[in-house]
Amino acid sequence: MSELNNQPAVAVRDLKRVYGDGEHCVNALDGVDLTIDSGEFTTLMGPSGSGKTTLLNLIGALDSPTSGEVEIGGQTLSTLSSSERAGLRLNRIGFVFQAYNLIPVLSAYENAEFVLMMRGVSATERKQRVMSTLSAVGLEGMEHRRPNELSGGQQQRVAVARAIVGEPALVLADEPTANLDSTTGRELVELMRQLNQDQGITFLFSTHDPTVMEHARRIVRLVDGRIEEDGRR
Amino acid sequence: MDQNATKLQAGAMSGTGLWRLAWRNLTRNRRRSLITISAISLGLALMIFSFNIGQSMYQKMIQQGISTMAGHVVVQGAGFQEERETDVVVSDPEGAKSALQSASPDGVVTSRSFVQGLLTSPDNAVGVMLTAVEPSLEAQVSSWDEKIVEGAWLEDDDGRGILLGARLAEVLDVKVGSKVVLMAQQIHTNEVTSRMFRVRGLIKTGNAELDGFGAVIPLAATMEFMGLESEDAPLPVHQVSLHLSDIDTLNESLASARTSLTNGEKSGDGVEVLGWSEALPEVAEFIQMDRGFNNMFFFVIGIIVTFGLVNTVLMSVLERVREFGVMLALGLSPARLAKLVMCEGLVLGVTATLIGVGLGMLVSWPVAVYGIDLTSMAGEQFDMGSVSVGAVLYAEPDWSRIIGTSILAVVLTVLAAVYPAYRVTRIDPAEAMRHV
Repeated sequence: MSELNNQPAVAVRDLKRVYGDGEHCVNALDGVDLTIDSGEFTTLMGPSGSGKTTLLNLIGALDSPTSGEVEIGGQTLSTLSSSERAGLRLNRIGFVFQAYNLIPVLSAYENAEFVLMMRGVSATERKQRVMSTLSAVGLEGMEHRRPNELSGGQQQRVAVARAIVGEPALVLADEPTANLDSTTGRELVELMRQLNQDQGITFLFSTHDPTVMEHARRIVRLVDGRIEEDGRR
Repeated sequence: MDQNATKLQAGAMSGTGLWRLAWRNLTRNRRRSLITISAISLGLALMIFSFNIGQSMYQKMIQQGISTMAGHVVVQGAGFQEERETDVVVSDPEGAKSALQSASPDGVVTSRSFVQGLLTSPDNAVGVMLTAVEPSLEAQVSSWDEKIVEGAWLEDDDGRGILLGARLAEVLDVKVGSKVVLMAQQIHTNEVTSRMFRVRGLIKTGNAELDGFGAVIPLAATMEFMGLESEDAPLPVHQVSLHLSDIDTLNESLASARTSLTNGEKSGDGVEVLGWSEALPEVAEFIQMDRGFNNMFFFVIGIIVTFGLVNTVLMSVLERVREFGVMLALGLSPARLAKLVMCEGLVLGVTATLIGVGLGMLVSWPVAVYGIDLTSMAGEQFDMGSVSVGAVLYAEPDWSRIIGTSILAVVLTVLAAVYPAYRVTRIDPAEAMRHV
C-alpha cells in the first residue's frame, strides 16, 4: 500500500457508461467525477437504477466505460490489458458482494485462502494470514465449515475476510448488508469500519441501508447516473 | 511499467489448489458425477472384457495354427506359400533344420509334408489331406497326439502307420487295425502310386475339415511311399518349422534364420523363410479384421460417450457461471479458469478409467480361471481363420489394447472438456455475477 500513499485510492473523471444503442440505449452513468483518498470509508447511495453497481464495476475493473477514465492508485485502467486488469483486481482490490458469492465447495478457510493461492503466497504465510484474518472478522473455530454450514452473517464475514486477506488498497462492497438482518448488518458494518480504522483499508460501499450511512464518513449520492451530492462528516 | 506488470499479474493458483478445487467440484453433484463415471467405466470394462476374451481366442488360434500347420518360423520351398504345389519342396531340409536350430537353440525344429491323395477302404474312397510328420518331434510341438480318441500315436519308424480323422474313419468304415490304401501322385514323376497303410489311431479335433478329411503319417513313410530312393531326388519336405519356447524371441530368431538361409531376405536361394503371420496369413488376417472391427465398433461408442460427456461437462459449467464470474472478479485469469475445467475433465477421466480397468479385469478373472463353456451352443470347436479353437472361452489380458484404450478414454474425456473450457474463457465477470 505504501506506493499508493501519494495517489488517491480512486480517481474517476467524466465517466460515462451507456448500455445498448440507438433509441433503446440507457445512460447508466452520465459524466461522473469522483476522487477517493486512501483510508476513506465512503458510502455510495441512491435509488435502484441510479448507477451504483455500474460505478463499482467500473472502479473494480470488471467493466469498461463508454468514455472517461478510472485510476486506481494512479494506474489508469484503460491502458491495461484484460490480464493486467485481472492482476489489478487480484493484487489491489477486494470485493464484497451482496449475495456473498463464496465458492460453495471450499471451507471458510479455503475461501479466504483462495486469493492468496492465486497470488502464489507460500503455504506457511497463507496459513498465518488466513488464520489472523478469520480471527479479525470473528470466525475463529469456524475455519473448516463450508458456506452452507454458516449463517448469512457468517458467510458475509468470510467474504470480508476474503476481500481483506490480501491487504488490498481498496475494498469495494456492493450492498453487503442487503441480505442480512439489521443486527447482523450493523455488526458487519462495524467490523468493516474497525478494519478501516485499524488497517487503513479504503472502503467504498453501495447501500440503501441507513445503518451503513451512520458509520460512513463520506456519503456520495447518485441519481440517474450523476453525482447529486457528495458530503463528508 | 515493468514494476506494474509484476504487480498486475493475473491469478495463477498453484497446481495443488487447482486439483483440489477440481476434485471438490466433481463431488458437488455426486449423482451426476457417478452417472458419468459409471457410463465411462462400464463401457471401458466391457471393452476390456471383450479384449481379454478376444486375446485368449487369438492366442489359441495362433497356437493351434502354429502347432499343427506351421511354426513360429518356417522354411519352405520358394513360392510354396502362394501356390501350395507339392513339387515345391525344401531342397536342403537338413541345412534348414540346422539353421533354425541355431536361430533358437531352445526351440524344437520339425519337418512336415503336405500331400493330397485318395484313401480307399473296402467300402469307400475319400479324397484326403495328408500331413506327414516326424512323430516324436511333432508330439512335442502339436496337440495331434492329445486328440487321439482311439489307438495310439505314431512311431518314427512306422512306415505303414496312419492316423485318421474320426469322421473319415466312419465314412471309410474302418477301425484301428484296419487296412487302407492311399493313392497319390509322385512328386517328381507325376505318376500315380499307391501304398497300403494300417490304421494306428483315430483323431478327433472338433474341426470338421480335419476330422472328415485329415490323416497323419510318419514322414519316413512319405519318403518311401513317394518312391524317392534315388540319391539326386530331393526329400519331399514341404516345411521345416521352428517352434519357440519364448515367443518374445520371434523377431530375433526370424532374422537369424533369414541371415543364414536367404541373406536376410524373405526369400532366396530356393527357399522362403516366414514368420508365423506370413505362414498363416488367414489366421493373421482374421485376427486383424476382428480387431479392426472391434476397434471401429468401440471407437463409435467412444465418440457417442464423448458427446454425452461434452453435454455433462458443459452443463456443470453453465450452472456455475456466477461462481466462475466471482473467481474472475477476484483476479483468476481466464486461462487458469479454463485449466480448472480441463482438470475436472481429467480427474473425471482418470477416475472413470481406473475404475473401468479394475472392473474389466475383475470380470475377466473368473473367465480366465474357469472359462465360459459354449459347447452346448456351438459344439466342441469354433472354426475360425482356418483353425479350430475350443468352445470354452477363456480370458487373457491384452495389455497393449487395455493401455491404449485407457489412454484414449482419458484423452477423450479431456477433449470433451475443451469446448466447455473455451466457454468459460468468454465469461464476463460483471455479467456472470448477475446470473442466477
